Amino acid sequence: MADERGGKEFFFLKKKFSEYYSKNLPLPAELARREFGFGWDKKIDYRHKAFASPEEFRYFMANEAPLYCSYSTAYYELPAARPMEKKGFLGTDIVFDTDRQYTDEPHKHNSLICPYCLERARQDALRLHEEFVCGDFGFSPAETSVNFSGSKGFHVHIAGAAVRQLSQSARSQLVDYVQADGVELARLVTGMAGDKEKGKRTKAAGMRGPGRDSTGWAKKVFDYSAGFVSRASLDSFKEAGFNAKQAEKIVEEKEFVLKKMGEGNWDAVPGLEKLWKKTVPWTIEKKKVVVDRSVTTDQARLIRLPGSLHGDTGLIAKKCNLKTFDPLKDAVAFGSEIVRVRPEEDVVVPLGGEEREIKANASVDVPMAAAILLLCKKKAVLVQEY
Amino acid sequence: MDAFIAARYPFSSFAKKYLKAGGADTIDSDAVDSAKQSIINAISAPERQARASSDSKSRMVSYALARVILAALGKPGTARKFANGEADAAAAKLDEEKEDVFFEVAKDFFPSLAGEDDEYNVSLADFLKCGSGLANAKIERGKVFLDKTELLGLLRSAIAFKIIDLPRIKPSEVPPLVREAIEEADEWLPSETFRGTAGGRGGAGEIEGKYLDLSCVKKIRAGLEEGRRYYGSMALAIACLRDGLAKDDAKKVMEEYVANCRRSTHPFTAREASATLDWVYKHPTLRFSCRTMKENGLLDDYCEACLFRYKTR
Repeated sequence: MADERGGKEFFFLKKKFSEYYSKNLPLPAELARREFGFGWDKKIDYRHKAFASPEEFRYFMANEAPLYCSYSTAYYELPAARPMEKKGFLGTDIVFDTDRQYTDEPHKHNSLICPYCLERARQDALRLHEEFVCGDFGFSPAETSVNFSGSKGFHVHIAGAAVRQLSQSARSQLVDYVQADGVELARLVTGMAGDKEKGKRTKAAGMRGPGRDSTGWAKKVFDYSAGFVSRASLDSFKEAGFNAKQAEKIVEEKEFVLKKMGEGNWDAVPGLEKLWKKTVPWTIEKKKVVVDRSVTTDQARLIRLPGSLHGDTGLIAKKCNLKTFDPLKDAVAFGSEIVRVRPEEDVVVPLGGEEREIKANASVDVPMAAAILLLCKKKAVLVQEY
Repeated sequence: MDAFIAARYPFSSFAKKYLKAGGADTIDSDAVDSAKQSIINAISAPERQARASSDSKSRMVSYALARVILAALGKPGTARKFANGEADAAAAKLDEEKEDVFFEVAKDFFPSLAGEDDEYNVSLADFLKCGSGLANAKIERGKVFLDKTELLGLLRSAIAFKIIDLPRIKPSEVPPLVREAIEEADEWLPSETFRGTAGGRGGAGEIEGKYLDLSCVKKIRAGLEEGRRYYGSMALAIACLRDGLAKDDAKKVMEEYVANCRRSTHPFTAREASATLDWVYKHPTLRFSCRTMKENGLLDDYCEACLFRYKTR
């Protein structure tokens, strides 16, 4: 197996990456103020590299052809200086990284690259961008950009003067918000039975919850709970634990319940508490977006350069419109030129809109993009010299 | 109203403008004594610090001098207590102010402030400067909505942050009258030098402390591999700061850490560790965060000490 970088597969990948970078140079804003890190064997073999001009950067990328290219979300006066304190920190963009693997959900997981998990990651990123970054946080689309990571997830970038000086603690709070870490459910709906008041458990009385004018997580809880009531049928209420009589009562009084909920009165009909005890935690689970906290909070972080190739897949870390983006089609960098490879295990290559099954130890001709993916994943060897 | 606010709230930009415009042309010994006393009160009699806030030009001068003295003293614990005392006193006063004064002072700290009475809002960026608990905040389209109590709490934090953000001043750079006050205050104020086993005399291994004795910090002290050494040095320096180590003692701890770190293609040098320590000691409000430790791969799981801290928060 081609598990050691340095064989013919490695040089083939370097050659192809070099060809790509000769024609497609990924350039970040304010190139000269960024620190870069590069890797050939692992994601970052070395860092503290800087480039004064696009020409210098182009020369490096085409000649060195790194398999992994990362840049700082921070801006520095002297990005190549060491130690970190000597760089002259000027500020940092905000980046959210979401690449949750949905292996716990029923699907045929492809360990090579999983279309299902990527689609779920795309949905998460879309929600993160639309509901949280542009919605709650109020950033304009012009201040934000989204790119595919090139492998398992997506990065949402926020640039601009308003965010550059935010502290690590402030960034951590943004993560708390999108992940719903620390959202106090007891503050969202008060007066439920079991709420502690002066150390004593109380009976349900005068339950108050978020209304139609609420904001933040309270608004999300209202929307979700009201949506549930609005859409739910008799069966849904029974599934939620109501007996037939209670369920009928709620369905009958649906409009009244919704009207009262809008005013913040969450116990218009007796017994609703049972429902809220489910819908409130459900809201959190359904609406939160799991992100990599350290990517957002670490101000000295290096992250994949948008437009660069990912050394684990050969796919482009492409800027994208999340509504229409299909990473397994739109981020493919290499064409249909045929390469003969031999996988050492059975694989399914899901690129370019088709799934190609390849058996272990069979020499097969595959399009360049598939060959690059297999070689990057160290799942195949080249059958002949290229 | 600007002069009124300047006199009552000497940390506001109104006061800064007033002093810059020539509001105080000389420094007399009364002002210096008053400044020194306000710092001493912050340690010994916080209730007197709150009461001492007269509404006059001399209060503005005294406050400005107190910050100069604090900056040159290099006692982060004293600076923190002074800032908290001033912020508490200011918050109590602001709570009693008429709406227009309250609003002006708050707007001085949060330029995006809008609204009135019990319905205010600030931009997300303003809120995040010193606010906490965003997950439970009322936020919509980049605005955080606050009632008066919430805004007052935010303002109190902002005042404390501003006061403690001290300039870099060496005692040799200040006028003789102020230098004398610095020396007197230094003698009077309790030492913030670490008084552990080593007391600055022994080797780093003998230096102990509440944070330095945490199992995760002990692991850092034993040295880390490449990729985690910078974060380790940052956590260790913060542990030294929070344990109140004098910088010389902290340097010994950092030197020991550098020696224990694994050698690799990029050596982690004493200069790098020292730069981290300098930076941390210039930011005395930094807190030791178990969560940051975990995020940076320095902590496998929260220990009893972390859990206790979270519970009691």
